[in-house]
Amino acid sequence: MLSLTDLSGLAGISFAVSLMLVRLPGLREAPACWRMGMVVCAFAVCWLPFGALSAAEFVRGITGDLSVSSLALLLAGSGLVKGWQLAERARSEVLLAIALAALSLYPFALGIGGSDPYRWGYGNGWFLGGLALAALGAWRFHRTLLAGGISLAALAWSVGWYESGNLWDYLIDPWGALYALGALSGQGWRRLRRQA
Amino acid sequence: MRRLALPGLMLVAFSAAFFKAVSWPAPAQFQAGLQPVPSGQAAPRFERRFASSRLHTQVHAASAIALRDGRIRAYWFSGSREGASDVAIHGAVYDPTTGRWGAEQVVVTREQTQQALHRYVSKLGNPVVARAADGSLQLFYVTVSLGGWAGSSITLMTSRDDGASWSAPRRLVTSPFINISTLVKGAPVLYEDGSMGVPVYHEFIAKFGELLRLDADGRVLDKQRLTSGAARTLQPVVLVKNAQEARVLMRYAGSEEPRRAVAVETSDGGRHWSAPEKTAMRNSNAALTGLVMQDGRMLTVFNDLERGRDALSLMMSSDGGVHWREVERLEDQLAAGSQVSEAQYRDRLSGLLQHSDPSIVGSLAQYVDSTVRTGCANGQCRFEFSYPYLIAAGPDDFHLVYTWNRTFIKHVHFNRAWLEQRLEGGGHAVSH
Repeated sequence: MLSLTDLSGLAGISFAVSLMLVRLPGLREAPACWRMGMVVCAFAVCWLPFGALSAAEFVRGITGDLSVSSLALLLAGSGLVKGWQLAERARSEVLLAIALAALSLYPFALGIGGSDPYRWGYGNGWFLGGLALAALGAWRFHRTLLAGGISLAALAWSVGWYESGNLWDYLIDPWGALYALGALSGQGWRRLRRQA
Repeated sequence: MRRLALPGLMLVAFSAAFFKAVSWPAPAQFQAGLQPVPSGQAAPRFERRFASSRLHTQVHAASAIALRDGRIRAYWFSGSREGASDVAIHGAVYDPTTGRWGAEQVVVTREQTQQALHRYVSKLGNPVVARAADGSLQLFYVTVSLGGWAGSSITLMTSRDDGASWSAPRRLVTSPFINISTLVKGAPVLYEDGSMGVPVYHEFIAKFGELLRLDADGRVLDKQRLTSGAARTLQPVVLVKNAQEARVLMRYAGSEEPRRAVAVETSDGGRHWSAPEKTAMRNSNAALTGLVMQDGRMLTVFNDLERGRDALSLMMSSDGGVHWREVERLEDQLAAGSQVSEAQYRDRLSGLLQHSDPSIVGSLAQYVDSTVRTGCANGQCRFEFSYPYLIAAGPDDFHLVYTWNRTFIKHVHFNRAWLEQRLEGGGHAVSH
């Protein structure tokens, strides 16, 4: 019997796999309705059992549940939703926010120093207040995806959407962080080459 | 309307989040003291036997719990080898009135765990059983989906019938990096508000001990780092002195000499912990165990060595865990050397096995063969007595389980009268 958190976790994985599929060369140029159909089919296939596990269950064992920011970025980058395509600058800002969050969390959570910022995600009011201010600031300066992403993460955490009880797991995950760091590094490298 | 959508979302989201945050349970003090169980044992008692009964298998990392009816349940992992996909969590029940262990049974398998968690699981390990404040049993064990033990996360099952049956496994999320590298070994403790403190440790890139706090439903409320990664500590053991004070002993996994167990202390119910300090307890990068007796004295069992695990000692402290005195050398194969030939190993094993459990005399040859299969490679063999786990089944009764040469789980049952007798007799001269 699937619990609600298993449903949400597997749905997130299936959604991500489906969205990444339609970004593949050859498929990303297809008409939007075709790509939407492929997403729906791929989503369904992810739930089919292959042996003891479905594809989504297998992937979930490796990746864990995906954060709201990763799912939002994937959706924005898929081009499936009208008006949801990010301008280059807005995309860079979101990636920068994810990268900064990751750099402020992962090295310390993995053992650098004696303090663990992951602990703040267990109902720390100051951390929540800081996030609220960040979301407010993002909204004030028309950074819609950033404000919406932070808010959705806070909402998902408050209702226990995933099996994790830690707010950090709703904000970022290692895969989105790796992508953000990689994409920003690539942008920086290209800028340096142009200047050179 | 669209212009209000985002501010509306922000308002709802953060209102809900702040409501959740203010409802978060506040820190609580330790629940100190044992739950006394009437004991009829006045005469000194010291008995040994094997808790596990399967042959030609590898076993490790046992834990135990006193049941309401006076029996003892033990759990360990067992399979073809540590980390193999066939490793499962096994258990058995000891009846002190008969002095016998019941048949070993499989409690949960990798396949059952994988199915229940709806995610791929490659291996299991390290079962730790505890009694929650509501009387239920909680069985924590480690699961790995990717990589080695550094990729572990903790899974939890609950029993409301003292271990006869268990709920479906569910995962605890305790780490942001794909939820890897939280493992469990030490005995959990209770807080006054009914929450549970579970000593855990991290060993991906850095090594450090931590303390999880779970609510009555097994949800993670907090996670405290006990030392920094630089301290290279593992497998914390929490010794609660009273509601505010506790001492945590940890395995030292570093290379700095002298190799000693590391300790931290708290005097405010665990809100803050002292800087780590090396104790006088030798530690060969091996697990230790301990408990606080009702009169405040502490017992610990560990490999009192800087290298190897071929000796195991029971020690007592009367000063809050600062100085320790050996009560009994439970196992000692130091004279055999770190590597022995198979012939010498077999010679020693017959006597060791019979001494460990006289009831196996009819199957001695099979027990010797099982031990050789696990303890020898390329004609060289070694002794290992490790991963001890000590519990109190009342103010006067103690049970210890530990890995015996990775082949059997050995059980030692002793009482306070025996301890006092050993102490009066002087025990061993070694003291720390």
